[in-house]
Amino acid sequence: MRLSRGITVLMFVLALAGQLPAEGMQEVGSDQETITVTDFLGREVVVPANVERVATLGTFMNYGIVVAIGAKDMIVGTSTVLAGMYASTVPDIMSLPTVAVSGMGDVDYEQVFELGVDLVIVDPTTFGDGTIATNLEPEIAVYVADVRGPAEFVEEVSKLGLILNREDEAATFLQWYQEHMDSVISVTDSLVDEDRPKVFSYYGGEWGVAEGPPFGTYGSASTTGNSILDLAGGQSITVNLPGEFIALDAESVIEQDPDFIIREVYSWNNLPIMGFGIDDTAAASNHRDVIMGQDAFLLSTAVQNDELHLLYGDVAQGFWFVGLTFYAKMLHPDLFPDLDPEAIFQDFLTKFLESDYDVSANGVFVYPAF
Amino acid sequence: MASSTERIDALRNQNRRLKEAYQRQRLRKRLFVIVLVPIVLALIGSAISFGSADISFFDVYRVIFTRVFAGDSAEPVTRAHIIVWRLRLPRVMMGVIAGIALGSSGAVMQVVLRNPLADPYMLGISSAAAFGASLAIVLGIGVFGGTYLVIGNAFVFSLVSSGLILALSARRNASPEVMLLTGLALLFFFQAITTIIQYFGESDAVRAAVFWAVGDLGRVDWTMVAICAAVVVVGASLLIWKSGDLNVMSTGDASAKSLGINVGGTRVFTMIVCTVMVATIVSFTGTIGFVGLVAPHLVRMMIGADNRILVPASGLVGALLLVLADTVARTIVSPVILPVGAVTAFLGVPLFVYLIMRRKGGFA
Repeated sequence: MRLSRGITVLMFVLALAGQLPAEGMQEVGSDQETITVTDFLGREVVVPANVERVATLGTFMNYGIVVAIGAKDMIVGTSTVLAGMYASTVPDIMSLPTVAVSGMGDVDYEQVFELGVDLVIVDPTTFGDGTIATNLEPEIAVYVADVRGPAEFVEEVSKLGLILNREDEAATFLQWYQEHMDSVISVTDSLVDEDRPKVFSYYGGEWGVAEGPPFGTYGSASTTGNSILDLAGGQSITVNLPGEFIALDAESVIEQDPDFIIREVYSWNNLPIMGFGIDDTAAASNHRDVIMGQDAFLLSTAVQNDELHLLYGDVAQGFWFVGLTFYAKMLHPDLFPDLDPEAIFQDFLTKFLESDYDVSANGVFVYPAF
Repeated sequence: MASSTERIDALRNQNRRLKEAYQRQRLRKRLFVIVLVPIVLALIGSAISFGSADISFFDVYRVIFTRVFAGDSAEPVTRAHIIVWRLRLPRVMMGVIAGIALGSSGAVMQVVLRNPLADPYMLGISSAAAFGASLAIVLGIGVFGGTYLVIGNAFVFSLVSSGLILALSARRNASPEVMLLTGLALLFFFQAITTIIQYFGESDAVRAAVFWAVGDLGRVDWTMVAICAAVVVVGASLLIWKSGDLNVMSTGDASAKSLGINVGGTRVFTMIVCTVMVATIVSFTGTIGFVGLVAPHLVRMMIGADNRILVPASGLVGALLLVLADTVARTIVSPVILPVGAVTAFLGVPLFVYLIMRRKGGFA
């Protein structure tokens, strides 16, 4: 774990110095009409050298990163889940055709061809068994990118910058990213285990929309969940448990007695209490009171010390590098007196998503507020 | 050549032997149920001693005895109290109640529908409940709000499905064939709508809806246990009360009618009782399969098809299976919890297959 933090820091330093090699890329063909790129899954993908029309599918940040590196105009199709996630911040997405339906991961292949797409960008989960590539390639390149966590982020964004001919913009975004990541990691990296509070982060009841138990949380195979907590200077109580998304027994939470409990609240919970469309904190406050009364949490150090926080899921796990600053501020307010996660969030939305959304006036993303 | 007196004596002896054999068999069947009760109690006693938290056997029972005999205020809210009284015990008790409901309903369904494959979900209860839950989880639409959003939807749609089937079959003399076929049709209908809802849902919400349908005992508290217990005690008692009529109906509708049984009425009545019981359980736990199908067969293979014994014994065997499976589900990879529905089948199938292989007769 400490080693991975060290590697991440090294990656940022290299990226800042502009020395990060874009691994797995080579140009082929004398006319340079195509380039061959090794994607996240190790597939050799032949991509047009001048990509003009892109479809971004899957969950979370694929769309956001393509927009952040200045390639928004290339996007001609997306998926329903991305449309939902970005409806408030990048309303333009709502006018794009949705070529994939979330949930089942099904793609409207005919529409992808109809739209004249050059390149489809998907995350590994949506790519699944490769049916998308089987149906679209070689006519349309299918590139798998994983920008869901810190491990490969710099590499992945660099490659997207090269593929989409937005290398300068990608470098600018990565510099911003590195600056904020480093502002946290440079402080937390030196924390010894005793200084790292035990954290239980969960996204509700595993089997249903209720709060649990059992609690839906992250195991060791999670891409983002526990690694963000580690980078933020905490220790997840579930980091060593097998699996990616797991159902945790309430007894275990009582046994481990976390110092912090963080409930990720997603709009799909049908809990209209947090997010872009909510401006009143009353519902979040009520919900927090309900969680505080949970049998599993009642006697915990976290509840006794009033350290139970609600964090909007699309910030916690979606815009995870922004989420990192929220986590760091929650876990170590004394170490980060000047850190302003809301301002960083606003900066990202304004600079890179070119969004007019004002997070200081609208939305509830963390409760209690800092 | 034997005289008529000797022949009459021989017949009397044969009759006496038959009577003794019948009484022995009846005693064996009753003993089976009597023995099952302490086994279930012992299993409950063991199940509450296991969990991911390290609590001694003594502490577990100290908490329970203090709570039971000294009341609410005697036991301070401690870690052991929360784990044993608020988390483990309601879960185990719900396993017992759900097992009784599913097992006894399964036994009755198999007789009433004259189909060995019948289970408590035969009238589309599980698919209708899953539809109601998906409606709540994925789209946020519900009959009730708050805590009872999902539970209420699952319950109401279960009843709608079963009510529709019973109403349609009542127009065709409540025949088992009509019940089965309309049940299957509605099962596919609700599955199809659920798929369409989930198709357009966000992946995480769909995942939650799918997990809901798998079934789990961990989402219950004492209030839910009390609601389910009340329904199941009344329901199971009614099924046992009607089990004598079910014995007669096993010989065929015509002969049952000739003996004065209201076949259609009994069929609809028992189906309503089963539906209300199972719909209540499903609403709180999700769909826990296999128990309702297998428990009656296990009992039938061991003690025969007398419904007066079969119905209560199936309930107890159902409780046994479910509590055992749940204990495994929450301890085998502790503290990660496995869905009890999956574990139930995993544990029960080998036993079931073994008994099928040993069995000589059919399944009628």
